Amino acid sequence: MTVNDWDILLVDDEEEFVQTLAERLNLRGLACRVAFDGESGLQMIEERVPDVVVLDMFMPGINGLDVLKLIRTRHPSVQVILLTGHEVDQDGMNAAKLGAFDSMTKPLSIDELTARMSEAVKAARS
Amino acid sequence: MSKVKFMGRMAATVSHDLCNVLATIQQATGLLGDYLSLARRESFRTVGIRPKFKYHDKFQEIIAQVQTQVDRGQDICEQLSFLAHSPDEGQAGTDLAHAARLLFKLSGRVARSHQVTLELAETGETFKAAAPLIEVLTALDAALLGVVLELGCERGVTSEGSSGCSFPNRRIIRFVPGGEGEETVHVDILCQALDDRAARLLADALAVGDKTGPFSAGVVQGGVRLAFVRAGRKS
Repeated sequence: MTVNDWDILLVDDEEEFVQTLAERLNLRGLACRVAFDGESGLQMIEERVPDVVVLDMFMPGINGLDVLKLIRTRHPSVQVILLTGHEVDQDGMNAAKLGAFDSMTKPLSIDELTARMSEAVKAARS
Repeated sequence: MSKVKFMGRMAATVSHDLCNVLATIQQATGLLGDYLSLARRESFRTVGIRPKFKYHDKFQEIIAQVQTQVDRGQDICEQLSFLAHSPDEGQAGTDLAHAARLLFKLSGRVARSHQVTLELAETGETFKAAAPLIEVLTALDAALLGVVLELGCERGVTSEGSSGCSFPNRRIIRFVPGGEGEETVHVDILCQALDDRAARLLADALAVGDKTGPFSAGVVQGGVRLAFVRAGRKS
């Protein structure tokens, strides 16, 4: 399994952050799709089901936890990595209850993110 | 909504927004570093036809500086977030050591500007007060500022003639959590610079300043004691 065939979707309303993150992942051979809100993210999942969704917890409109619930219901094979705030204990617990694969706090290390993505892709394809 | 809760909610929002700013700065400088590495690799591949970027090392140094500051900012955001949620925390009891650690992080600037070192005694035991975190923080902060104020009187009277101190141990403020019986838990705030008279004055000031608060203040050997009702105590 190489990074080139990973199918990743990044969903975050912080446009500059998520575009820069996508560009960095791209430089590592990982082409990702990007959505700037929960609704567009869900729409992109329906168009093509990814292996992994990296999802911001707090977004205007449908927030990350609601998007996570919908993903778990509609596409249980998709693994979700939640980007949370520092309320990580509480959010982490919620994330675990709702079935997120993992959660990370911002700012985040790209190496750590790709390592967790790798695990999540394995889980999505197992 | 109470003023404290309002401030907490606002601080949580600010902390969250700051985290997003830091995350963007971090990824942007990371991307700069990625392109710098890419340029270097291309330079190696072309065996010198494409020369190495002259300021490569300087750029790397600057990127590292920014990343260090991002880490610092992240730490501050984390503390701000803890502080923001403190009005809601500790309803089931506040761990005094946790409160002291949080206060130390939040008071770093005060400590540095007064050249004091804050220490927490590791007791290996958890002492929980029956008060919300915000109340415990407020009490500990008042005591810390009281000691710092006392130390402030010593500044500028050193043998070196500087604002430093010729007796560095006198500028260590040590927080020691503890408990006595089943009724109370406490934090002793100790400092060599506090003589009995100064400790008595400070304890009286703390008691007067917060008569209706959730703690009582007294004098112990080398400092003051803030005592709280123990969490889970049968009333």
